[in-house]
Amino acid sequence: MTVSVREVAAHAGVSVGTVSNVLNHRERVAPESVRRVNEAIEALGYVRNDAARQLRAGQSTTVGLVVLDVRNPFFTEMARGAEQEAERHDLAVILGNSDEDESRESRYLDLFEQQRVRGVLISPYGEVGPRLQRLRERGTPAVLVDRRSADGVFSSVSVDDEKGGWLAGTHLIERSRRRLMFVGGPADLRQIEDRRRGVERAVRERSGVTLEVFATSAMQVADGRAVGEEIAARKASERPDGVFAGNDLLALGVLQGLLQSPGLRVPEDVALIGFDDIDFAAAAVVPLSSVRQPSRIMGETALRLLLDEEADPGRPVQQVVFEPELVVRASTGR
Amino acid sequence: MSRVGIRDVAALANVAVGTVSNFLNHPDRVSADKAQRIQFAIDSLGFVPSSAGRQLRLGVSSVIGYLAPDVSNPYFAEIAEGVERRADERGVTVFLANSHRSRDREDAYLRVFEQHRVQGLLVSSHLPVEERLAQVRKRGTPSVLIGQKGRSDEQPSVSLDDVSGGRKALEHLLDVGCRRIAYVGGPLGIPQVADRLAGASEAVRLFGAATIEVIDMPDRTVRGGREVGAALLARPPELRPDGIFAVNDLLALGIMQVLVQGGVDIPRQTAIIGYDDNEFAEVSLIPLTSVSGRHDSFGGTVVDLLFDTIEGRAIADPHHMFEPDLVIRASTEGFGRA
Repeated sequence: MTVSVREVAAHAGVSVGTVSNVLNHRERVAPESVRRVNEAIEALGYVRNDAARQLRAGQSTTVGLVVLDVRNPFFTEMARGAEQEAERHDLAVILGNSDEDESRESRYLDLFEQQRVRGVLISPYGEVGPRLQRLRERGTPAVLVDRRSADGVFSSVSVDDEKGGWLAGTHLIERSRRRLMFVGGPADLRQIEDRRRGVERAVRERSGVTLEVFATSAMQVADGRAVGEEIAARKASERPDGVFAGNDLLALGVLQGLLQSPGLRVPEDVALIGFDDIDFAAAAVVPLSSVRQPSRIMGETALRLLLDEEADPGRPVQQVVFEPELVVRASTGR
Repeated sequence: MSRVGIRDVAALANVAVGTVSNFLNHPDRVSADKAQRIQFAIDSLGFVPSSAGRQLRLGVSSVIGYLAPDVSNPYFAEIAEGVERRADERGVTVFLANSHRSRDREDAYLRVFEQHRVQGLLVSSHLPVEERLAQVRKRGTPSVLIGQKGRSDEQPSVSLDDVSGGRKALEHLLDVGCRRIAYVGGPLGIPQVADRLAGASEAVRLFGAATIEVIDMPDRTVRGGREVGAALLARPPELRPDGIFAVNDLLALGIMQVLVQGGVDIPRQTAIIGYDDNEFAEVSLIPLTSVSGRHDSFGGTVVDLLFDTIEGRAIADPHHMFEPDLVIRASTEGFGRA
């Protein structure tokens, strides 16, 4: 049974209004009453109900963040950035993991809306535009992270994924690779589509280079491992000599799969590059080349855009696009 | 920027507030004509029936919270995944929050979850948290402690037998021939860190002809490991340990990275063992031997225990303990070979 303000007031021998003032406008209350109310709160175990308070005040101290995959260190680093910035503004960040599933994503948006969060940061999976639009109309701002707002309706923080894909592809080609493979999916995930378009452009710019696209249903280590095993099982002439994986988790899985086959060497037989530059990329069995995204700064920036929008709902949306950076390690050779 | 309220809906639909409330909670009591008007008003105003409002009455929601020190540690991310899988089956949604090992933040998030009236809490912590959870429970939010054994029977917990895990790690290092062991991790106030050391020390004591040195590194991340690695490299080789037991894989991976770059031959000169068997242990520079707390049923056990508690079912064993397993890989096998 939850304790109500009424019970706190009775226990403290003050009016309900006084309790409410202690909770909301302490400066209006005599110190003695503050003390008695606090004692009553302590004794009864009263929890101030944020939900109820927000119904009145319309202000929450919680920001909701929906990420695609909580097991990917890229997203947790991004969350870390958002949390750091949130803390500077006395806000808390609650995380939802959509796990690349549209119905889960939509459930989190429902819950965040019902909980009246202060704002929503989301790395979208499905078509969330109309939902976010509705949120905004109700006074809850939303900012997209890791994806640019296609129609420029929402503020967003992203990396130029097309350019990142081009950097990875061009790097493999400069390392004398001619039979490239792009691994990633699902194909309609915009980040993946953009990275694929980037590597396609790199391939078009050089003659004599081919590109095979290996679609995966998800982007975790296990998905990559299956791809690596399949590549290893092919005849040497049918294997790619350069693989660009859509993120580092996939790349680490591909590496694992390839190296299970004795005699197959990385980078000599197959050069490999990932995307994100997570902490483990450098610590891999063959240190992994990657395309770095400034994940923590992206999270910080997203939270700042959210507060900007909240402060001035009428201001034009902001699209912040970071430049990706090529990080060369042993997995693509010298 | 005021939100649309039930009053606005009632006004537009030209019905009483109570009728809107009935429509939301007992639609069978509302005539079809009014229901249609109310629905139209809800749609055109963009009214959201607030679960906050509903929770004021019902005091329940279909949300549980998982508070972890740092979900970017794959160990916690994996638990979170197992927890979510079982929660999904139960139609419950999980909110995650990171305390980043700060007591203040831990308190702040406990408060946030409480205020959002989650049904129950799952808490992984490296801090003494049981008394605070007892307070939260008294105010109506039950919890399950993950990764450290609850002391009171009132506080259900699911953990690993870390004393046994520490013993297994050390027995393996002694087995392959290491004699000057370093235990890396800290602070010892953390139950998991202390328990693993207790098991390790006991193994050394029983063995006799070996020593164990404790290297205190409270930053239990890859970065912290790199720092320890650099400090070890700075020692004359004869003063370096020949076997390293790191309290988690992140530390072990960081140490390994720096030692290998510094020309130390792993495992021939120095064997390294981690703890957690996270998904990167297998693909690390030199595949890492580790103590695995991975159990497919871990997350499910945690969620089931929480709901047994929430629903007031009798609990046979409030402190469920899993037995850790040793996973041997290249970072220890082959120690001392020419």
